[in-house]
Amino acid sequence: MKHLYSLTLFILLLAAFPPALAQEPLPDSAIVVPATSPYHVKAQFAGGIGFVSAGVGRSFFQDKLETDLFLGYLPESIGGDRIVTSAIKATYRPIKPLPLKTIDWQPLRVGFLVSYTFGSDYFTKEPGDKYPKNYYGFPTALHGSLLLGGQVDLTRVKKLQKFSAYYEFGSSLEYIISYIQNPKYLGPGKIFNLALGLRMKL
Amino acid sequence: MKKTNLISLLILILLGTTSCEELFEYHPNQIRLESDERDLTAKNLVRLQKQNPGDTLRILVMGDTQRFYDDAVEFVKQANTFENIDFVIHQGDISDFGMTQEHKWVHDIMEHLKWPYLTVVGNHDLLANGSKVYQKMYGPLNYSFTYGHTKFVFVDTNSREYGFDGSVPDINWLRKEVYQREDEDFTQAIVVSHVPPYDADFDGNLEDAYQNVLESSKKVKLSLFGHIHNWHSNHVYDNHILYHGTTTVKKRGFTYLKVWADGFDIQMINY
Repeated sequence: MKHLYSLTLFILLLAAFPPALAQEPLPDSAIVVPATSPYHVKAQFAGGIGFVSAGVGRSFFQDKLETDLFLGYLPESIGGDRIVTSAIKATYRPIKPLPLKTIDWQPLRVGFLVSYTFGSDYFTKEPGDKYPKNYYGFPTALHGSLLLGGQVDLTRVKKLQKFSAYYEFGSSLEYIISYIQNPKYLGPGKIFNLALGLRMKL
Repeated sequence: MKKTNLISLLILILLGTTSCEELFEYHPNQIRLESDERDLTAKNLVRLQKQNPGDTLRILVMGDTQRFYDDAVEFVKQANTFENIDFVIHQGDISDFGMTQEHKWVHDIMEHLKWPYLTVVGNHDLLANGSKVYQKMYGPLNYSFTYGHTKFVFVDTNSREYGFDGSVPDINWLRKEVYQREDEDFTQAIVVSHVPPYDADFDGNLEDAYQNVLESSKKVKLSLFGHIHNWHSNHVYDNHILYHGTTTVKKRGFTYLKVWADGFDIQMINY
């Protein structure tokens, strides 16, 4: 419950703040899109692909779609086990960003992530010499996740035009399946986890 | 743009997030445990040894919770309607994907039991880095304890997960545990495992040795197992040892076991 409470509080805060910032909304014509490359780099905290991860990617359709390739690291001192993960991520912006003075706020980005965990503990395909066919029926090295988040682009902030900050709630498909089958015990607050990240346009 | 607005927004985000310890997940296979989620076997044994075993031990046996949390919650509710239970046995496959979070959820449910609970490792619990998870959260994969007149021997029999390399189950360890040592005093030993010895997931090369150890010890009359998601109770090897399999919580069943010095009684409870 504590988890769910914080999550709700967090979302409420985010929802409550933009109006306070948007006292003088800029007309659409005032939105300046600086000429930058479609390529970017990212640094992310948490989000199921390491304590920290670094990504490269590119945007399509005026940033509506972003695709990234990540490499993440979780040290044993933090994660209880040393885990190296790679991931591909795609996020889509279904609604227009809201210009708020010098920043643009993307209230919603939805996405999908597939991660691959390195190491002999994990398999993508059940080893044929160990298991009969479809013994488990799922890979332990691959995890799919659904993502829901938002992004703040520092579009008109001097010297920081290239930067964005994003937040992303994600849940692995294993957790989502578990939630669907256990609607009483599990809930969104139990299965969704937060990632925070920075994007720099190249 | 007022920078203060952005800064306060960030501060508020941080506040919202730090008030919750599990808001961030670094990896599905991370092994991050609270202090009350570690060494659960040892902790439950401490609780158990504080109790006074009577002439008749009363034990509830359940298992294969996997990802069926709602059913596990129902089990705990049912179990807590019983009286004078000594402890509960979880037959393994605590988790489905071998991930820490699953174990944490199951423990969060099982800790509402009125009594200590003890687990044996299942094959699903050994997936991914699950062996490390199990050992940090519960404890050794093989362990035993004596409670009253009976010794309980929990043994990892998930041979397939080790590629049938001959090391699991550990026959030498098992022999030392079920044969009464000079410093020990028990009238019977009950062997608890996840996979039964006649199963395809048990190392076929060790089946005879395993069952010979149990038989020749002259202490084992009962061996409990899970894994098959069904009830099964049979004198498989045509001897005095009963192999009793308890169905999964998903099928809403558990075993009510009564043990006395030289015998036992099994009731299959469906709820």
